[in-house]
Amino acid sequence: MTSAAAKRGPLLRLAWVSGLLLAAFVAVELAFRGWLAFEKRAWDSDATRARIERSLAGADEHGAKTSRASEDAATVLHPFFARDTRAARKELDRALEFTSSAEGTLAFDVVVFGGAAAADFATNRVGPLTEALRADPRYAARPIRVWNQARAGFKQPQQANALAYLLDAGVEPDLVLVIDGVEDLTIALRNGRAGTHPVYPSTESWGSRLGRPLNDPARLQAVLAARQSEQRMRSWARTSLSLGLAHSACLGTFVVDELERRLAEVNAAQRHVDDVGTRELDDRAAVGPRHAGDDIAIVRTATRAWFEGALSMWAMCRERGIAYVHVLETAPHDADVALAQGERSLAGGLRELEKRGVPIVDARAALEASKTAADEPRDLGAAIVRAHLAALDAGDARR
Amino acid sequence: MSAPDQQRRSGIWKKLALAVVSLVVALLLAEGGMRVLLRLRGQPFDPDKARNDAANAISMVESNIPRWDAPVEQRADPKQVEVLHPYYGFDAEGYIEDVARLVEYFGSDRAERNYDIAILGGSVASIFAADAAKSLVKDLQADPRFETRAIRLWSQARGAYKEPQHAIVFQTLLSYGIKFDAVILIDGFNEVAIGLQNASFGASPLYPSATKWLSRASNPSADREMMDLMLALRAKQSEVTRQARRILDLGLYRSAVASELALGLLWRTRADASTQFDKVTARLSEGIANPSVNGPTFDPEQGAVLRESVGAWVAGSRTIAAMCREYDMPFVHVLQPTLYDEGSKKLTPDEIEKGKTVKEWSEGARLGYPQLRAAGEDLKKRGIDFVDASQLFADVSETLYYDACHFNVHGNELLAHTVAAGMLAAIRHHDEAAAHR
Repeated sequence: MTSAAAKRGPLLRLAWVSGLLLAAFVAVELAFRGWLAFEKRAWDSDATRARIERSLAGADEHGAKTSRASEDAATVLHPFFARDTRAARKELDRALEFTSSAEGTLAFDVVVFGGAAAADFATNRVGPLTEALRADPRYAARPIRVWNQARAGFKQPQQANALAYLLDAGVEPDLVLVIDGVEDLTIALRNGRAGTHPVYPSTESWGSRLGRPLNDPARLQAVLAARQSEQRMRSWARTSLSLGLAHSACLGTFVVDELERRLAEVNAAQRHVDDVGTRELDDRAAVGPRHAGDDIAIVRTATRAWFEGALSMWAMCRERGIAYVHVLETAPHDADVALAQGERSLAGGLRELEKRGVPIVDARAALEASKTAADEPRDLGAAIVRAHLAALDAGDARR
Repeated sequence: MSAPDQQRRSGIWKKLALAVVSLVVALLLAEGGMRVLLRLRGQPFDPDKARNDAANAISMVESNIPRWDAPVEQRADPKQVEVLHPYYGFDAEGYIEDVARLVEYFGSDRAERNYDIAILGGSVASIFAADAAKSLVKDLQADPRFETRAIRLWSQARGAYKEPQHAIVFQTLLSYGIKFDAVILIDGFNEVAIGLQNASFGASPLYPSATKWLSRASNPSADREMMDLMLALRAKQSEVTRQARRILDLGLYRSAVASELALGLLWRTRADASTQFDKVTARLSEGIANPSVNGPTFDPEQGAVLRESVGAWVAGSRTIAAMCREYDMPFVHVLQPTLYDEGSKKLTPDEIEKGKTVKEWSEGARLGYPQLRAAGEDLKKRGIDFVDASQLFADVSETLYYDACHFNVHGNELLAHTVAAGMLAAIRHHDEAAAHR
C-alpha cells in the first residue's frame, strides 16, 4: 500500500460514514413524515416555525419581530397600562409623526390592540389582512399601515386604557382592531388565585415589579429563577429558529417537545413567584382591591372587565367615526374547568356585543375552515375584513 | 413672724400682683391696639380665619388635597398614602381599598333605588364633592325627577389628576362593574398648569403630574442627591406642621398678637419649605435616575405643550361622553374657575398673597384658559353638555381662593348652583335623546 492510498483510506471511510448517516437520517425523516401523514398530522414546517416564534414573542412580552432587539424589549413602568416596552413607545412616536404627515392623511391606518396573539398578528401575520382590504375598491388605492399597540400579557382594561391614551395623544386611526380574550381569562385566573384582583395587570408584570423583591430574599430568588427559566426557553427557541430545525419533521418535533417542556418550566417558575408574592396580601398597591378568591367570582369579574372594556373601546371609536372590529381569540385546549367556563362566558359576551351593534369576529368560527396553521392568518384576515366592510356598509363607520 | 417681715412679704405680693395686673393690662392693650391697627389696615382680626390659616398650612404639606379647613387631628389616613397605581399612575391606598366596597354597593338593590352621580376631576372637584354636596343635592332635588329618589354623590376625583386620568378612572370603574346614573366632570386647571409644569421637567404633558409620578416611578432611592433633597424638604414640611399644630393646640389663634407672631413665624417656615420644594423640582427637571418614565417625546415649546394639553382635555371629555352615551348616563363637563385666569375674579390682597405659585401654573392658567374656553364651545357643538364656569366669580369681591386654584365653601356653593343647572340640562337632553331613539 502506498502512502497516498493509506492517507485516502480514513477519508474514504469518513465519507462513507457521513453518507450513510445522511442517508439514514433522510430515510428516518421520510418515514417519520409518512407516518405523520398516515396519522393525518402532516408535517407543517411553517406552522412549527410560527409556533416557536409565538413562544418567543410571549417570552419577550411583545411581537416576535422586535423580540430580537433586547433593548426594545426592555420594560418600563407606564402610568396608564402598568408597563410598556421601548419598542411599543417607539411605535407610538412613529404613529404620531406619521399621522400628522401628508402621507399619513392618505393612508388607511389600522391599530391593533390586545395581548400576545394580537401582537403576533400585528407584527408577523398581518399580510393577508391588508391583501383582503386592498381587494375592496375603497382601499385599492390607499396605502394601508398596521400599527401594533398590543403587548403580550395585556388584558382589559389595559387595551381600553391604551386606546384612551392613544386618542389623547392625538392619534385617530381609521380602524381599531382588538384581538383578545385568552389572556383576559388566564391572567385574571392566575391573579385571582394568587390573591391579586383579576382586573389588575398580571402579577408578574405589576405586583412583582412593585413588590420590592429586593427586600424579600425568597421573592428575589423566585424572580431570578423565573427569569432564568425564561432565558433558557428563549435561547432554545432562538437557536432552533436560526438553525432552521423546523424544516425537519424529526428535529422539529423534538424542538417543539423540548419547547413545551421549557415553557412548562417557565409557567411553574412564574406560579412560584405568585405563590411567594401572596405573602404580601396587605400591599394594596401591588394586589389591588380585595376580591373573592373562588374561581367562579374570578371568571365573572374577568368576563365583565373584558366586556365593558370592549364596549368602551367601541364607544370611543364610534364617537370619532373610527371603524372597530373585535376578535375573540381561540383559546388553547385546557383541562382547567374555570377557564372553560370563562370561554363560554366570553362567547356569550361576544354575542351581546354583536346585539349592541359591535362588529365582531369569533376566531374559532372563522378558523374552522383552516386546513393548516399557515392558513389561519388568511382566514382570520378575511373574516376581519368581512366584519369591517359589513359595518361600513351599514353606515356604522365614517370610512 | 414680726410686723416688718409681714409688711415686707405683703409688699412683695403687692408688687407681684401689680406686675401681673400690669402685664395683663399691657397684653390687653397690645391685643386691643393690634386689633385696632389691623382694622385700620382694613384687615380686621378674625380668629376663625387665623385658625383656618394654621389648619390650611398643615393641609398644604400633609394632604394630597389641600383643604382650607383641614382637620386638626393627625390620623394615619390611608387616603393620604399615595402609591403607584397600574392604571391611574398614582392613587392613595385608601381609594384602592374603597373599590371593593363600591363594587359591593353597585351590585346591590340600593344602587338600583338611588340616583348615583360620579364626580370626576382633580382636587378642586374632590373638594367640591365634600363642600358642596348638600347644595348640589338640594338643587337637584328641587327637580320633580328626584322627588322620590335619593341622590348619592361619589367622588372619584383625586388631587393632581388630569386627562387622560379622568377618562381612564371612569373606564376602569366600568371594568369593575361600577355603573353610575350620571357623571359630572370638573376640571381644566390641572390640564394646562400641570401639563406645562410636566414639560418643564422634561416629562410628557400627557403623563400624570411629574411631581407625583416621577418621584415614585423613577426609583429616587437610586439617586442619593435626590434623596437628600427630599429628606430636607420633608424636615421643613414637618416643622411647618409642628408650628401650625402648636398654634391650634395652644389656641394662639384666639389672640391677634399671638396670631400675628406665630403665623408670621409659620409663614417664614412655610416659605423655607417652599424654597426646598423648588430645589427638589429643579433637581427633577435636571434629569432623573430612570428617564424612561418621562413618557413619549414631545415638542417642548410652550405653545405646543398647551395645544397638546388642551387637545388631551378635549379628547378626554369626548371619551367620557362616548362611554356615558353607550351606558345611558347623562354627563356634564364643567370648566372650573381658577385664580390666574385673567379677569375671572377681582382678587383680594389675601388671595394675591396666598395664590403665589410656580410660573408654570400661573402661565398655564393665563394662557391655557382662553384655549380651554374655545375648545369647550367645540365640545358643545359635538353635543356634549359643557358648562363654562370659568367666569363664575367674576363679580365676587370677597376672598374665595385660599391658594392658587382652590376655593372655600362659599365658592363651592356658588359652583354647586351652576353644576346643578348643568346636570339638570344634561339629564333633560339625555331624556330627549332617549325619547327619539
